[in-house]
Amino acid sequence: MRKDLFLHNLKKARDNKVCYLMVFPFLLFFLAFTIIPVVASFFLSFTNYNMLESARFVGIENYIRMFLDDDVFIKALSNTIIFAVVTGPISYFACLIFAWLINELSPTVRAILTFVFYAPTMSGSLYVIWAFIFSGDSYGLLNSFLQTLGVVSEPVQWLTDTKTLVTCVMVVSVWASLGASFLSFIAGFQTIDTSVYEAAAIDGIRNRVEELVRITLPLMGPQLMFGAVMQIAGAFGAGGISQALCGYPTTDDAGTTLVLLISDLGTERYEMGYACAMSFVLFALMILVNNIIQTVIRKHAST
Amino acid sequence: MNQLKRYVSTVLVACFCLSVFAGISVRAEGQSLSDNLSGTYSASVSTYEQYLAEISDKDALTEEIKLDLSTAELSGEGVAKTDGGIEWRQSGNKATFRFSVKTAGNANINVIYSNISEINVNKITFDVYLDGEQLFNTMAGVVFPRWFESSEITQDERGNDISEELTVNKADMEERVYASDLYQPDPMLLYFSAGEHTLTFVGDNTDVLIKEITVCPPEKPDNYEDVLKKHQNNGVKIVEDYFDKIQGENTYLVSSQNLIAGMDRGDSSSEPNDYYALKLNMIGGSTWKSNRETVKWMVNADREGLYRLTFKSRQNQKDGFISSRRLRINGEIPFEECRSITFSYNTDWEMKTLGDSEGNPYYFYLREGENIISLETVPGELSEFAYEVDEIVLSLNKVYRQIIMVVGTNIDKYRDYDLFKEIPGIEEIFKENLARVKEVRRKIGEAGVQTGSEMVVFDSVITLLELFLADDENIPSRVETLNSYAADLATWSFETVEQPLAIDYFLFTGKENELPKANAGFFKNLKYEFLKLLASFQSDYGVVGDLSDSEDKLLVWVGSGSEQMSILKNMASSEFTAKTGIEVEVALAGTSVSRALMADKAPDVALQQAGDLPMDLGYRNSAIDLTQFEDFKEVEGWFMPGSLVPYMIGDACYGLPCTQSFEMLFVRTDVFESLGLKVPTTWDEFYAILPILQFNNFEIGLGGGSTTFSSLLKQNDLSLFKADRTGTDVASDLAATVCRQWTEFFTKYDFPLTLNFYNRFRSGEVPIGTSVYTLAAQLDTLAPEIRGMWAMYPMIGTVKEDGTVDNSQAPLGDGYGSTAVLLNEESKEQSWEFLKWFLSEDTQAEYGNKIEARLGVVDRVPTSNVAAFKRLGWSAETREVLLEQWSKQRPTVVVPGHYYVTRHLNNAFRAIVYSNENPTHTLKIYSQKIDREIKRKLQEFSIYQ
Repeated sequence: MRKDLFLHNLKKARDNKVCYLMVFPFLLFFLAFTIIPVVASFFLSFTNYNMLESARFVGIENYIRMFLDDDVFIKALSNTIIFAVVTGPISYFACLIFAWLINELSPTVRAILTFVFYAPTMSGSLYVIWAFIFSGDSYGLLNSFLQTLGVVSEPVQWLTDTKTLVTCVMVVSVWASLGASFLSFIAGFQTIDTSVYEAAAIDGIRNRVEELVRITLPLMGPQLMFGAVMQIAGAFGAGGISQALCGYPTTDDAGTTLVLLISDLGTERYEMGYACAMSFVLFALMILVNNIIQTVIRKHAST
Repeated sequence: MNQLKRYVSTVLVACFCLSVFAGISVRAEGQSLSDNLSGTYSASVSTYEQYLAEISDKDALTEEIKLDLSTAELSGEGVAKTDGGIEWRQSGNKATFRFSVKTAGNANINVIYSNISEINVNKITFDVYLDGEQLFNTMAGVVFPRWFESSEITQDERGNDISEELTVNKADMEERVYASDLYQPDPMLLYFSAGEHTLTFVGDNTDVLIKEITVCPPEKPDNYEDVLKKHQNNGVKIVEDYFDKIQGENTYLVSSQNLIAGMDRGDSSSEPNDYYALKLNMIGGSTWKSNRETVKWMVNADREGLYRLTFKSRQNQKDGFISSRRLRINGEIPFEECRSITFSYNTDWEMKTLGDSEGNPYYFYLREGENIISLETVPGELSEFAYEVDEIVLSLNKVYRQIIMVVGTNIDKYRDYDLFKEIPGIEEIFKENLARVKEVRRKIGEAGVQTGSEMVVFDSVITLLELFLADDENIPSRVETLNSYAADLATWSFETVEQPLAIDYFLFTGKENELPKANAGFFKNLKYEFLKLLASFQSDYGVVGDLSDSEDKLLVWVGSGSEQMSILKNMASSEFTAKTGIEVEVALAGTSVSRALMADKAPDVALQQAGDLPMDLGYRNSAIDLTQFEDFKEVEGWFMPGSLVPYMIGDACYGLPCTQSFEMLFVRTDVFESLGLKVPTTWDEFYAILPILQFNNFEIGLGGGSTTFSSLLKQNDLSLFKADRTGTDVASDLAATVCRQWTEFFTKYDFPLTLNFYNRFRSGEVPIGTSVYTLAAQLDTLAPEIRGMWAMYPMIGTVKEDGTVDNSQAPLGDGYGSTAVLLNEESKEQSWEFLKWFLSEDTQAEYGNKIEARLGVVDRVPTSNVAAFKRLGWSAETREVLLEQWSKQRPTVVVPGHYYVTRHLNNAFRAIVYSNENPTHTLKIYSQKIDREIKRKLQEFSIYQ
């Protein structure tokens, strides 16, 4: 029985060999740049490796140190989770709402507005303009504006004061995060058959919001899933914005996320083994969260 | 009784009246503060411009008076009479010449001189005195160019042209004396009355032999028509058929080191040109633009005659701008029209045949055989306004500061400041400046400059000043705009003096010859670009020079830029390889040395790397210990004491410094003068002047970095770290007090935490502050409007128990300079030879001067070799001050886990300053964190070691 199944699958594979051949190049890249590094990282996480000398096996010492002896890790972990929890859903729903709102407009206007919303992400590092807006100099944009209004009398150090820098980074993050998910939602809205809306209207849907929640979203299952995966990966992998605005390291590690900490350990501090251990923990965390979200969405969406 | 009453009342009235008067006079004493400070700023000596205006009505001298050098009075050891003339070798020495003038008149001073040094490449400067006095301030700092000749252009094995070498020339040169203003088109004109006179030359930067000095009438060439007639009357004919092309990059002599051949790959018609190889095909571009920079070419004419002259030129650097040059043939201006030849803006090359406005070409006389053609940068038509604009900027900046004193930087929008009443005189100043700006703008428009962008600056200022004069309540909210417009005007005047020009080649042709086209056609260029694209896949332009196959070649990585790399490569091949036979390959590879080590592709020598690299590698056994070499001690002596401390682990040394910087105190002396303040030398004096500065709304530019903290600790005989690098050493009470002192600047005294020191110092808002000393080079070149109004002083120090002042600095060792490391055990002997050669005095001096010539004074190299530093372009006075401060610098050790130090010091600083935590307690917490990390690293390293 098992053998029959195996032979059956093999035959199927041979029939589809053209498809496999097409996928092969990408598979190679995927293997080389994703699978192998992850596996290597797993093994390296049990060593002490400063990259210039050979690795030394230390067992689970890295993990012990991470959870019990490293307050920066704890800080970074909490920062990352807070970040993800706040910016993830906010930007997710922002994408959704904006996509829904501009869905109504004529195609040209929609195209223009899509461009406008997507522009921050597309331009890569444009968010550094916020460094000028939040500059701690009294001539910085926000500071001089507030001083003119009389709200503050001295320049506020937005990006170096622990009280304000997290909020600033979150604001910029959300601003810059209308990314690929946004586009997929727009596409998703387009694919829904309008006859469903007519049927719903006849059946007594009262307003647009109800239509959104009961009809549109369930039909957009795949897009919502894609959006969720992208946002979560993005939120947990956030670091670039924090580094660009507040520098690295941030004051008292208030803006340090796991990604920043890992890259700091690996590249600046020559502690590759420890960095691998930490990145593995991050990996596990992301998989966990992803699974949870996907279960939730799958429950509420119809295929 | 009535009489008595009358008496009493009279007396009472009299007393009352007297008291009223007394009251008025009392109030008169307590005038507004700004009154005392609004004195006009007057120079102690008049300017050259004013002097010229005074003597403009006098006639020119009619005779030529050659000064007798043999009877000169000399003073000082560095000047001596020789067979050829008078030789100067050191600064500060002077020679005085006597002569008599028969009839009074205006004259120039013509000097024949020659350079007598092989190694001094800086400009020759003198201070000149007539009859013992300087009639205007720019008689000081008179410059004679030191001429350079360029070597032949050679190719490397891939066919790329190698930048040529410029060597100092020792031939006799003849130059007239120019005043040292930034923009003077003509030689210095002095009025000599009839009778006995003395002329004194005091040397500043010398190494020169002066052979002849002549007082002669100013150059006054005839106009073209007369000159042409004169030649034709002498039988010289206009040549009909002749074609001679001289390439611009084949120069004969140039007056400064930045006039080297450049490369134009934008158009296939530039000669020589190749789509594959890099060819040097023009002179100038963006490098030939400063006043008096001259290029000379040698032209061989078959026969005597009158020829047409055509330049293939391009001015594509400044939109709408006209660049000017003065043409001389065999040292003389051929005719009046050659005083200023204009080149207009064009993105493409132009064939410019020199001729009159109707298109008729000029014919130039060339004698048979060798002729020398030279083009000298002269200020263009707009440059005369630069003076005027500079004065307007000064005046506006002064007004700006006066307003800030009253209004502060935090302007209250709802208050009536009544500035015209509060600060008497500024209304007039605004009116005057408005009139001047309008006048300048009008004159520029008349001069025919087309560009709108030039006018924008002036139009904005006019609008703003009119707004101010309309209602003085418009001023407070727009005072920042006033500041930025003043800076814009300063930039305009600075840039307007620059006259960029590029010359590909020039032609001497006969009357009938056809001229080639300036640019290649569209299709030709298309083909060229396409071929270039293909070639870019094959040729590696990131590596300079020959790629040698030899086994023993050294691989050197440079962490700075491509100019540095190519200069280094040239010097390495011509000096190092020539002497030792070791070939060197130089590559630009920035900061990825540690990654290269991991991949086993590391170079042999890495230069200009980050300050923490030697220790990071040293702890991990990846860099070579330099103390194993025999002459290490000798090399150690090239640097300031204590320079190697950040690179030593125990007795082993893992790196050497390439560049080192240190901080100086920058002070706006004009602001201090107007406030009556003395520059502080101790912290107590500093605290004493703070109230006055801050009361007048000035701010202090003391940075909040850890260097300040570390330096303060050193001044109190403490140190951030234990000498054995096992931890921090700030647990003592004194350290806590120092920490308190440091943070109080920002809490109690409210210094700004972040500011753009350069801009604010320039505008005068921040009249005192600390910054790296190279800021001086920037200010000197980029901020001409504040010349003479600022100075560098040694750092503020702490008074010790024995009364001496300790103003040493202690920057953190891992961040304060760039370093060099050796990485390859197998090639260590040769690598060490190379490193020694690079950091030696001669190489560093030559390298530094070349970089400065190529990239400008702004990029003057802060070299670490003390002897080489003395040979860079700093003036003698500045150099003394700098050396004094530099010698007091002692960088801290670099501990394992050093990256945590800056972070936690910053965290501590911010906790104390932003959140008002207790300094002692916070310092303790963060130093403990640093210690923990250090301990962990020590454990890690002791296992490995």
